[in-house]
Amino acid sequence: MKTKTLTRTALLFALSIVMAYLEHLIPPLPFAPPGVKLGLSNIITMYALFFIGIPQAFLIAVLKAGFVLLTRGTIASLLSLSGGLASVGVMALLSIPGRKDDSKKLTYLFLSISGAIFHNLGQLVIVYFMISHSFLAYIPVLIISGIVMGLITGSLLYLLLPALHHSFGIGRKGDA
Amino acid sequence: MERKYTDRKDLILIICLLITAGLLYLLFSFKKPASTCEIILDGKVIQTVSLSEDQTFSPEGFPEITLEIRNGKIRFLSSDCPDQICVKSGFISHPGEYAICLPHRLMIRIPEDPSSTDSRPDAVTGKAVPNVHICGRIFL
Repeated sequence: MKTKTLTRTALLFALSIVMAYLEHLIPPLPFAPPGVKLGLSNIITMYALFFIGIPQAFLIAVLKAGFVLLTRGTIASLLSLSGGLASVGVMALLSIPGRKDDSKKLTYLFLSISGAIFHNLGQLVIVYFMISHSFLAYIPVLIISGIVMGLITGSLLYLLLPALHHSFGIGRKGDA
Repeated sequence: MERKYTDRKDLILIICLLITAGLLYLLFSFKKPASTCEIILDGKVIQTVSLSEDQTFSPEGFPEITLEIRNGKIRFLSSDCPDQICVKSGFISHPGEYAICLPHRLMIRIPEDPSSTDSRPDAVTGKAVPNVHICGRIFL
C-alpha cells in the first residue's frame, strides 16, 4: 500500500468511527422499528470503496468490527463484521459494471440502497445462528428500512462528496 | 464520466425490493402456527381447544358460559356471573394471556410454549420475553 493510500484509509477509518458516534447522538426516530439504525458510517465505507479502493473498504469494515469488539463486545462486533463485509461485498460487485463503459455505471443511490439492505441481511445471518431463528420474519422490515436508510446515506454521500474530495485531496491534478 | 446520483434504474430497484418485502411479509404471516387455548377449572386444564377454527361453544360442564373463537383469538362471549369481568376482558391471543371468570373458577389461557419462537426465556427470571425487546439491543 502506498503511504498516501495508507494515510487516507486510516483517516477514513477514524472518520467512520466519528460518524458512528455522531449517529449515537441523534435521538432515535419515534416511528422507526426497533433496532433500525441510520448507518452514517456507511457513507465513509462507500467513499473508501469508490475513491480509494475495494481492499481498503474491506479493511475499514474489518477495523470497525475490531473497534466495536473493544468497546461493545463480541456479539456486537460479529454483527458489525458480518454487516460490514456483506455490505462492502455487494457494493464492490455492483461497482464493477461501468468500470469500462460509463453508461452502465450504477448510481450512488442504487449502490447505497443495496449496501444498506445487505448490511441488514449480513447481520441477520449472525442473529439467525447465534440468537434466534425467529428473526427471519424481520426481513421485510429490514428491506424497507434498508431502502429508507440507503436513500438517506446515499444522498448524504453525494452532498458530502465535494467536501470529502477537498479534505482527501482527491480529484486534483497530478493525483492518483 | 462521473457516477450519477440517481436514474431510472433506482426506481426499478426500489419497486422490486418493496414487492419482495411485501411477498415475504405475506409468506411469514401465513406461516404462523395455529395456537391453542387451555380451559382451566380450579387450576386444572379440563379442555384444550384449537384457535384455528372459528366457533362459539360452551366449555364442558358450563352451559351458562359461552366462549367465542374468531380469527385465532378467543373470548368469553357471555356468562351469567354478576360482575362480567371475564366478558369485559375481551379477546386474548398471545402466549401467556388469560381471562378469568372468578365466580365459576374458570380460566382461559393461551399456553406459553417453551419452544415457541414468539418469545424466549429471560436469563435471570426465566420468564418469557417477547423477542421485540431484544431487537433494540442486538441491532445496536
